[in-house]
Amino acid sequence: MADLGRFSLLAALVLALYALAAAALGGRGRRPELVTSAARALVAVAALEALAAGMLIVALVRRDYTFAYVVAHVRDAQALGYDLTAFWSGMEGSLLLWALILSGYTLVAVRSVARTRPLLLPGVVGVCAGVAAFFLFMLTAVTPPFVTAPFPPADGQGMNPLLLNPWMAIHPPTLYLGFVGLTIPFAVVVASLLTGAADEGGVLLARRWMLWAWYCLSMGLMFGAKWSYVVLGWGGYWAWDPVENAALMPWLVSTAFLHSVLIQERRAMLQQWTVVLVVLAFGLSIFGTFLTRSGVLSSVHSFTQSPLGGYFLGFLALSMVAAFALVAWRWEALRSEHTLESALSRESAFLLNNVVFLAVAFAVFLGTVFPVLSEVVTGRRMNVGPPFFDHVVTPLGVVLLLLMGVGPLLPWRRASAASLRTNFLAPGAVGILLALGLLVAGMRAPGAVLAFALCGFVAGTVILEFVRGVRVRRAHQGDGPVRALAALVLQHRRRYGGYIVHLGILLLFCGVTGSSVFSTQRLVTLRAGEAVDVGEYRVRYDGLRQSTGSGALVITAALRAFSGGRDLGPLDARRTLFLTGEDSTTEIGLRSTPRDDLYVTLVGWTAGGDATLRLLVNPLVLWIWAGGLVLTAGAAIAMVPDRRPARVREIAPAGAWSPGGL
Amino acid sequence: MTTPARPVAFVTGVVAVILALAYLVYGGIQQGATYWVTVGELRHKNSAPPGPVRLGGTVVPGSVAWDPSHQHLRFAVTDGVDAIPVRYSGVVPDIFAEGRQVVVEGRLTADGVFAATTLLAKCPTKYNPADPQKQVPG
Amino acid sequence: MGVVMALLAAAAAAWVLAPLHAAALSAGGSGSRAGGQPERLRAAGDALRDLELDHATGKVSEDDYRLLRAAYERREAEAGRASRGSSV
Repeated sequence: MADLGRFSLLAALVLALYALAAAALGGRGRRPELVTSAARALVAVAALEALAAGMLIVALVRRDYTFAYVVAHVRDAQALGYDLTAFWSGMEGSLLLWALILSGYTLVAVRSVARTRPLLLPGVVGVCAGVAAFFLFMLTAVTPPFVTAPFPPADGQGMNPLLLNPWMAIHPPTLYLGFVGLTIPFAVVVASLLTGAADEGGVLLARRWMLWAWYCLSMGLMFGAKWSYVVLGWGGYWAWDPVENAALMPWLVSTAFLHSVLIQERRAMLQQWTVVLVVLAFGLSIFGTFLTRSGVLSSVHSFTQSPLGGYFLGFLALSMVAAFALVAWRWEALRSEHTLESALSRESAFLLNNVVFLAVAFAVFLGTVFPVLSEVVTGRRMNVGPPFFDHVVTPLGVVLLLLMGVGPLLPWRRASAASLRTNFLAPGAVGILLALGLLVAGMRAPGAVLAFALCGFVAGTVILEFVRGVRVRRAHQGDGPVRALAALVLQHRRRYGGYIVHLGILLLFCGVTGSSVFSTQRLVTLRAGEAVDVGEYRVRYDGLRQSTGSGALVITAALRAFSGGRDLGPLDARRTLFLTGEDSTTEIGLRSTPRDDLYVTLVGWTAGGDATLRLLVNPLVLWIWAGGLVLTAGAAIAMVPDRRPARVREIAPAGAWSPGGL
Repeated sequence: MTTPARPVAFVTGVVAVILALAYLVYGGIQQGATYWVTVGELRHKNSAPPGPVRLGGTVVPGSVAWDPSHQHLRFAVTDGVDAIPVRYSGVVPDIFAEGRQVVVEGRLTADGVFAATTLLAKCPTKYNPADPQKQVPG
Repeated sequence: MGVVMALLAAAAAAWVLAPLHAAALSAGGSGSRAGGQPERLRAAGDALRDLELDHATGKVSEDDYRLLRAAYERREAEAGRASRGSSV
């Protein structure tokens, strides 16, 4: 069976290389049959990858320990569901997942492009084939998933128990749907550049794909944050870890794209910039995969710990050099019709928004590669931690928040003083009142007051937009308010979906501000019966309980929470010690309310039954998860396509490629 | 075809953002940068830089001592050649264990013990090549 | 197992190379022209609807509204014409 798996991947590699060559030749020589053949080759690649994936899944589920991969990630005592997620928890499996998702997207993209923009087909097929070939090369020559050993061990090692969690189960595939999703817009843009870039560099076509990738990346980032908060037990949700930053950077660039492409559509501006963003986003997704796979930046050791890193960097360099060379070649063809006319207009706000997003992405990048960079520049390896990121990103984030409120309300082309007054007076008042209210209520942290006041301002602008829109609809159509609201959102999905996303971001911002600035912590050792005060809560420790089961020893600290004398119920925190090896996991005691989270970790204990506990009160954390939900809902609304069927298709002269035969 | 000049105010705005970024990055580095050192460098103290440093290595098996009543942890860290004792106070991550890779941030004290203010353990099986024959680099 | 692999390989090769065999019918059609693009038409329609809303909610001055509306309508007409392929 391993042979079949290896063969499938090798055959897929050969086919992908063929597809690349055929698409290139077919595109240059105007031979549609080559392009069709190339597209078919990619279908075959998808089927072969699916076959290989199927083999791996079967091996995992059957716990076939002749496979080294299965031994490393599966154990007899592991739940079956997690045996399945072991498919992507290891290096080889995750690269296979990457390739498989890419194939899936490729099939959809090829069908769609063949139907509506056949001119771009050779380019799209070629790029997808090239990227697929790289990953298949890695899977056949560098990190093959089907390594077998003649004498299988009796039991496997199993996954690290920290990964045996529902959030960690869905986090990688969701992130991958996002990462890989950035390849298709890249392919579209490259194809457009290759064929003369007369169509705004392909960015209009790329937009839908970027939105989908953004949507998946957003969800993946939220799942990761939730896992970090709930499973790792350190009380935080974001540590500026290289692996976290790896996913954040393409997200930032995609967000910038989603805004600049709107300017492109409405005002035919920023074309060159938008094309560059698509290329950059793809580059960052490859870089991100490289960061999470090679462990280069978390390690103390020299630059590339495994040969994997070298190949990824090589591929990244090659694709970026080639893509930017293409962009430079077509630079004049990409020049926009219009340029910025006034410094105070929606266009300028969006452009400033883009600049700041890129600044944040650059800062995150700098901080992430700092160890390597400092070693190259100064000879000594240095590191920057969360303080660096917080210091740089927070003020930029505040600027983005302000722009989020101001941008949508500024008029196109030029804002007059009168329009500024009508648009910003009410929300401005809301912000100021909120600030005063918070100050009166005793809040003294200036950063937090500013952040909350800005959130109030932005919320005011968004609500104003909804109110105005509803009013207009009611004036024209005479609908009731609820119907008008629904019709408004459905008729202008991109705009109002976007506003809902902004509301989600606001909630997130408030949650992050609250939990970063106003969190309280205690680290204490208690005897049974003792209690500790943290924030407005009192937590009583009632003693240690012990239980064993399925190869693990579970130590539970029985806790009870009180607030102002009121009994809030049990709040147990436990540690699970796995008797095989030295792994352990934490289960926090958590009580979440919209106001704050009471968060307890069992840090240690003595034989005498004393428990060392770390208690945190984190305000507004629930707002972060709520914000995540709202923003995904907004994105989903924005993604729903028009009911108007776009039955128009690109007219290509007879004799050129016809998608028939695919 | 000539392109009309972009509004001065806007260019100023962009330049302001870039300058602000540079200023913030510089400040952030001043505040937060720590040097990486190896166990060998710390043992032979002449080459160790001043200020807080980051030290990486493997936890020496048999060296771990945890005092639960004061949340004190003592262990030794090695790079395969030299070893250095470490003391740490606070929460110990779940992944921390003998033979595992660990990163500590802190200072080397006069008595030759590394006083750690931060302790990070590296997840060994998460995203590493699934090769049981491969040595965990120490 | 070897037989399975050989069969798979043969089937894939046959299917993939088939269009090349069938290529005899294709005349040497050249002259690719970027025709209309459906997403351009959609974008122009979107822009018009959005502009109407902006105008109704007072976010565009009268002059700018007229200017932009004319530009969008022109774009929509061009995109529609190109899609119908009347110029080919």
